[in-house]
Amino acid sequence: MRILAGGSCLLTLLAAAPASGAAPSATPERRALERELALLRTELALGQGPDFYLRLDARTMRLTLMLKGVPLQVHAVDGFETGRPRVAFWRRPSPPGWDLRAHGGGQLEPPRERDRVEIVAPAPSPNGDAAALEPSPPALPPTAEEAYSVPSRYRIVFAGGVSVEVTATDGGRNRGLARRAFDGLALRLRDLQSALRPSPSGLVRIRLRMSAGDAALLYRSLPPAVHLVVVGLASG
Amino acid sequence: MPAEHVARPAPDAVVSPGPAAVDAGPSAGPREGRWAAWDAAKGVAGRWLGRRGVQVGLGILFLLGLALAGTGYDYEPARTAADLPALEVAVRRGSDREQKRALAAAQRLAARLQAQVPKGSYVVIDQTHNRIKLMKGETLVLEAPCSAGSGLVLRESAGSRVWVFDTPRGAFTVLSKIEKPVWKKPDWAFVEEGEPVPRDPAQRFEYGVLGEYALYFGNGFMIHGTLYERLIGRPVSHGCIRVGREPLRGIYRAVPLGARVFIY
Repeated sequence: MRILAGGSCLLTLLAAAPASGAAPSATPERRALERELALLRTELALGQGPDFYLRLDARTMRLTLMLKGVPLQVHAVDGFETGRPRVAFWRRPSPPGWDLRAHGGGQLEPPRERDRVEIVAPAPSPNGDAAALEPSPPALPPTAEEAYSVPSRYRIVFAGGVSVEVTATDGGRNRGLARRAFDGLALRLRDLQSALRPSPSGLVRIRLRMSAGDAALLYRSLPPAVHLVVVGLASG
Repeated sequence: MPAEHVARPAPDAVVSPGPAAVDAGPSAGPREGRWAAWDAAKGVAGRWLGRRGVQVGLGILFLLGLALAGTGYDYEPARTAADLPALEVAVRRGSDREQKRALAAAQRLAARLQAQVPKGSYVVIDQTHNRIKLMKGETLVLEAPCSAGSGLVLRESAGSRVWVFDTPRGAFTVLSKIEKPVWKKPDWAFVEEGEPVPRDPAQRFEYGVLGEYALYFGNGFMIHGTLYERLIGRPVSHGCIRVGREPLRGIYRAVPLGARVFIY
């Protein structure tokens, strides 16, 4: 009986072996190809859409602002880490396949504030003589560098639970000490809030280190509601 | 009697218990009035916040602090995957037909992605930093400062009209190319200058203010020259893109009708 049982087990194993070996998705190359195909499809869909998107390439360490498949602004990335929330030392799992999808609705945190200057036009003179009104010359609008101060650490938060944190490698001394301390505290509180939230918000955090110049360039010119696609990451 | 009147306190005056009452030691007997109430309250608090209670409270606070310290994000360096050429080498070595098919599909998609970048000349404008680039394929041909929309808000004094002088973001197409363009002044130009808006359209034309060339890309927006070249590099326009004479000449010559204009 024992011999018979052993024989049947061996036969079962032999029958199963070629089947499992033939499953192409089991090989690392096949899995890598499937991921690559999914990412290429995502990128192609983004490139055909009307929205701006960020393409973060882990292989080339480049963050590129793109529209219609055309690179508009390229930023070199010095450091690239992925993170997930930890609640009381317990690490929450990342949603599966997050790195194969596009993430939309990206918003800056802290937000970029723009003070618009409003001018009330002078009432037209009855004889059309504008010189008689003696209008005061309008002030020159400030350049982007003059208008926006850039935090040394900021985030782009996407709707699908992914956020990108950008840190300037050389500190980014664009803001005063008190403002930087306030920014840091606000980000820490947001961290706690998003880590504790039961919804999938903030489930994946990508931390990038960039030069202060690149970080400032990105902060000042990032279009609203930008999308994100991350390419070149290994699975798992 | 005046002396008696001074010695007697007013009925609602607060009477200090005096040092003897304050310093009453453990030997002192039970006290009366509000001091008795205080003793009773102390007793209740003592029951709830005794030495053990304080210890438990501190312990809870410590655990809460520890939990908060352990709440945040854990980071690890990103692990990169093999790129398509590396995968191609690996797949070509093997004999798996499915893999080869998947590789061919990936290569087709990659080629389609690559084809999204225009082969000819196109323009990229960074309206935040006021820079314009002339590109050909992936090659930078020319880069120059420009002036994008000021972002000012103009409000009509005796009316409800409001204009916001922003440059639009997005992908556009060069719809027409004009030499020696003539500006047909819109309403806001008259309102801004405090002039009445003319009824005769002929009074709207202004010559020479848009420079030598203009590339029209829709909705009233153009890339054109300016009389105020010293302001180029600052956001001073009403939404159009102002470019200096020399770079404008280069862009006008290189960019054909139908070329793409990307503004971010």
